[in-house]
Amino acid sequence: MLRGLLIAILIARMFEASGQISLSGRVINEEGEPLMAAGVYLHETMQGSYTDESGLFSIPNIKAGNYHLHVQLTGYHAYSADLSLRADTQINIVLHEGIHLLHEVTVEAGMTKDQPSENPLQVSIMGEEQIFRNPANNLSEGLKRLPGISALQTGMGISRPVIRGMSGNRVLVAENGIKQEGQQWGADHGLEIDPFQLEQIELIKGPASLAYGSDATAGVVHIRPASSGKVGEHELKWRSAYQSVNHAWKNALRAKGNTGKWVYRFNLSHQRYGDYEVPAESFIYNGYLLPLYEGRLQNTAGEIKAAHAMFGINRNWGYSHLTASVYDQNEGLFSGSTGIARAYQLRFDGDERNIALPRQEVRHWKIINNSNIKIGNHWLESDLAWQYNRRQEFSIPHAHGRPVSFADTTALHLGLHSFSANARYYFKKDQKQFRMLGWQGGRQINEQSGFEFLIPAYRNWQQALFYIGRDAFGPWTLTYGLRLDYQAWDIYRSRYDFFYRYEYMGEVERNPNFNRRFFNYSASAGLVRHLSKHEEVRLNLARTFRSPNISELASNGVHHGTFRYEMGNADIKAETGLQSDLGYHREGRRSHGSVQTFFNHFGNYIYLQPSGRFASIDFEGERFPYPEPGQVFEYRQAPVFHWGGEAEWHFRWNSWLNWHSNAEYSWIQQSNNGAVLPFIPPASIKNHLEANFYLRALDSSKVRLEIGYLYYAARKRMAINEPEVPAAHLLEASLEISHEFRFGNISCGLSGNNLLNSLYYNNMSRYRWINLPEAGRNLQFFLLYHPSWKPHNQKANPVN
Amino acid sequence: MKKLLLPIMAFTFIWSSCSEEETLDSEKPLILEITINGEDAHHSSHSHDHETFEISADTASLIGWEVSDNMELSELRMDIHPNFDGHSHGKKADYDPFSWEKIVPLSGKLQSGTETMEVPENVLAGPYHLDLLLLDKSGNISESVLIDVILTHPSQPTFSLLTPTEPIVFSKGSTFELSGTVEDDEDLEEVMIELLPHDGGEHIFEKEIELKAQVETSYELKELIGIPANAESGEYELKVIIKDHDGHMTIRAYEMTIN
Repeated sequence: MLRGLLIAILIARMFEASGQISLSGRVINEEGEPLMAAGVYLHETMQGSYTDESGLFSIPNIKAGNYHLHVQLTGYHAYSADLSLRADTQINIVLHEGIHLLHEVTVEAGMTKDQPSENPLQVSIMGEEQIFRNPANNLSEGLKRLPGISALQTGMGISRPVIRGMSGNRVLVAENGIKQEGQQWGADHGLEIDPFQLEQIELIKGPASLAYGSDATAGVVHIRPASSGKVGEHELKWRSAYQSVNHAWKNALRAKGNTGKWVYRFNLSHQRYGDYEVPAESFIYNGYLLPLYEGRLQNTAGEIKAAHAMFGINRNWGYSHLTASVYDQNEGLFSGSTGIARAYQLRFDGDERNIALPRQEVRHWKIINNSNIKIGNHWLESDLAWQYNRRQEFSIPHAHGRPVSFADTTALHLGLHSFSANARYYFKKDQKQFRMLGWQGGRQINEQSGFEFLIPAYRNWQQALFYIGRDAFGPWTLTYGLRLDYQAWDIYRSRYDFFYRYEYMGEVERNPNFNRRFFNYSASAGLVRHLSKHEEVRLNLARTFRSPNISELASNGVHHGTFRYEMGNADIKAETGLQSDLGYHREGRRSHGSVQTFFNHFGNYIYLQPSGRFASIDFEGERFPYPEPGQVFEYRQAPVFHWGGEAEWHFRWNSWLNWHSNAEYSWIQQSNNGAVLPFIPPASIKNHLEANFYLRALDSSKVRLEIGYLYYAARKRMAINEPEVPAAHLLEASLEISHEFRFGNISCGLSGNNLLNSLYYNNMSRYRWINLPEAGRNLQFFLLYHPSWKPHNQKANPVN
Repeated sequence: MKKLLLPIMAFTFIWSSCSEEETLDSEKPLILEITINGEDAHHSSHSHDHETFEISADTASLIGWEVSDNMELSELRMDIHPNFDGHSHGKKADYDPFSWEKIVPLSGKLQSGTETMEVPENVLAGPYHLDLLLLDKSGNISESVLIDVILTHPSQPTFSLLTPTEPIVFSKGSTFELSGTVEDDEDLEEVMIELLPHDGGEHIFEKEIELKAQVETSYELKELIGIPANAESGEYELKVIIKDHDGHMTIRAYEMTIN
C-alpha cells in the first residue's frame, strides 16, 4: 500500500499544472454587508482563509483543478460550491442567516462531501460542545439526545451506540474514515474512543454500507477528522468536570495549531469515577431482598486514560495526516451481575473508588494515516490504519469451578490486530455530477487466552470494491451505488482445560478448525426532491448484506460481561436486507424540522435466542452442568421486519429563546411468528427549552440556560425472558456562563440529569436483568479554559 | 410527499394486522412443588420468612419436584452451593465445601420426580443454597427458586444459649447480655454475633471474636449488646455464627422483637 501511495504522489506530480492560481472574493450577508471572520476553505487541500473586516478573502497558490469550496460562519447557513479553477478567480458569496445561532452549520456530510440536504439518508452532525454540556460518561451516552440513537449500557463507563434499536456490528463506528475494530460484537463491550478527543461526530441513520463498510446496515457513527484550525494560530484548551453521582473527575487538555503548512493536534484525558449512586436501598432478586449499601452499586468504579496525537502537512497538492492514539479503560462490574447475587458481595468494601473483581480492562492502540492527493483534476483519498485491541476480563477463578490454588484471575484475554486500507478516487466532479470509485481492504488476526473460553483465535481477510454516483436533474438529486464484498474467515480449533468441582478433568474441544468465505453485494438508490430551497423529500432504497461476525460463527462459552452462555453457529448464513427510508425536511426562518420513517426486511437476521437447554460440558459421554450461568443462548436466523421513525422540530421563539423536541420509535420482530427481539429502545419524546443571552450584570458574559423533559414510554411486549420496563419521566437542566477575558475564554457551568432522583429502569442496560434501577440524580460541574494569545485584528492569512 | 407515504403506511398496516399467524409461547414454565426429604420447601422460598432445611453429611437426601408448562417442558436444573457469606471460600485440609448440580431432562406438560443427592462425609457444615431453574422447549425460563439449606456434620461446633431467654423482647436504647457455651471437637476459630432486621437490611449490631490464638475446644461467650436508640421497631434476628478450624460453620438464629 505504501508503494501505491508513493506512485500516487508521483502521478500527482506529473499531472501538476504549470501555473499556480488564486481564488479571492467577498462574503456578504443578505443586506449586502460584509461578513468578517467567515471561514473559507477548499475541502480537498484544506487550504483556507478567514474574511477580513471588509469581508474579503484570498487563497493563493492553488493548482488548477476541481475543488469543493466551503464557507462557514457561526449563525449563518453554511455555503458550499463546486468550483472548476483554471485561472485566477473572483467570487462573491452571500450567506443567509440561520437559526442555528450557536454553532457553525455543517457544509458536508458523508463520503460524498455534500451538504446533508443532498444526501438520501438522514445525516446529523454533533459538535463537541453539544456532547459535553451534559453529564455523560462516555461517547454513546453523549449521543443519546439525538432521535433514533440510544446506548446499550453496562454501568456508567461501558456503553455502545444503538441506532434504531440495532447495535453491535450493525452500527459501524469509524474514526477518520477507519472502522473501529474492537470486539464490537459484544453487548457489554464499550466504545474504545476517547470522547474528549473528538471535535465533530457525524451520524448517519440508515444503510450507509456502500462507502463505509457492509456492516453499516443500521447506520454509521463517524468521528470526523478534526478541523485544521485557523492558519497561524495555536490554541490550547483545558476541560475539567466533576460529576456527583459517581464522584467522577474528568480532565482533558488539548493543543492544536496550524502554521499554514504543518498542522498538529495533541489530546490527553483522564477520568476516574467511583461506584455510582442509585435512588434505592435495596433490590429484589430471585425473591430475595438484597441491600444496596450506602445507596451505591458496589464495584462499578472505573478509570479511563487516553492520549491522542496528530501531525500533518497541508499543501496545494493535498494533505497527509498521521494520527496515533491509545485508550485505556479499567472498570469494575457489579458483583451481583456475574452469577447469583449474594449479599456479601454487595457490601461496601470501604473504598468507593476501588476496582475489584470482576472487572474488565480494555486497551486500544491505533495509528491512522489520512491523505488526499491531487491527480490531474481528480482526487485520491486514502486511509491506512493499524489497530490493536486488547480486552481482558478478570474474575475469581474458583467462582468458575477452579481450585483455590489457581491464582490467575484472567478469565478472558482477547487480542485483535487489524490492518485496514481504504482508497477513494473522486472523478468527474462538477455541480451536477459526482463519481467515486473505492476500494477497502482489511486483515485481522485475533488471539485468545484466559481460563474461560468464549471466541476462538482466527484470521480474517476483507476486500471490497464500490462505486457511488450522484446526478442532479433540476430539483432532483439521484444517488446510486454498488458494492462487492469478499470476506474470508479462518477459524482455529480451541482446546480448553475443563475443571469440575475444583478438580481438573481433562481437555475438551470448544470449536473445530473451520473456514468460511462470503461473497456478496450491496446496492442502493436514493432520490432527493428539493421542493424549495429549504425543503426536501428523500427516499432511499437499499439492498444490504452483513457477513456474520466471530461470535455469531464460533462463540461457545460464558460471555463474561453479560453472564450468558453464548453459542455460535458455524453454518450461519450472511444477513441480507431490503431497506427503505423516507424522509422530509424543512428549514424555515424561525423553525426547522424533519420526519424520517424506515421500513426494513432482513432475510437471515442473526439474533441471540434463549434455548431450552442449560449450559453444560459434555465430557467422556457424561453431561456436566456449567457452574453458574443458566441458559444457553444460541445464535439463530429468522426473517425480521424492522420499522419505525423519528421526528424532530426546532423552533426559535425570539432572538434568545429556542425550543427543540424530538420523538422516536423503533420495532424489530420476526416476520414468521411475530416474536419480538430483545433490547429495543422504548419510544421516547425529548423536549428542551434553551435560552441564550448576555448578562450585563456579569460584564456581558454569555449565558446559556436549558431545561429538558424526557419521556420514555413503557415497554410491555418484550422478547422472551426480557423484563418489562415501566414508563419514565426525567427532568434535566443546565446552566453555562462564558466570558472572554484578556487571557482567554473561560466557560463554566452546572448541569444535572434525573433532577427528581426518579427510580427508573432501562431495558437497554444489562443491570435491568437483575432488577437494578438506573443512576440517580447526577450533577456535573464543568470548566473550560481556552487561553488565547492571538494578536487582535488578525488579518486574513495567506496560505503557504 | 403524501403519495409516497401512503403505500408504505398501508403496507405497514396490512402486514401488522396479519402477522401473528403462529402462536408464540411466552409463558414461563412453573415449579409447582419442591420437597426436601418429604418436607415442603418451595412455598417458603418466595416470602422473606425463609425457613431453612437440614441435610446431613454422609447421608442421602431426597429432593422431590413437580413442574409444569403450557406447551412442552425441557430441563430442570438443581444446584447446591455454599452460602458462607464470603467468610470461607474454598477448600480446607480435610473438608470441602459441598456442591452438587443436576440437570433433569423433561418432556410433556406436567412431570414430577425425586432426585437422590448423596452428601459425602468430608463436607463442610454451614449454610447452603439450593437453587432451582426450569426451562421449557421455547426457551422460557422460570422464576428461580432459592431455598436456604443447612448442612450439618457430627464434628461441627455447638452452641447452647444461656441468656437472654426466649421469647426475646427488648426496647430501643436498652442493653442486654448474650451468653452461652460454645463447644467443638476441634479448635474453635471465631464467633460472630449479628443483630439484623428480619426482612433484610443493614445490621444494627455486629461483632467478631477471633479465637485463633486460644487453642480451645470450648468457649464461654459473654457479650453486652446495646440496641441503638434510633433503631426501628420490629422483628429482628439475633445470629450467633461459630466457625472451627476445619471450616465448619454453625449458625444459631433467635427471633427477637424490638419495641
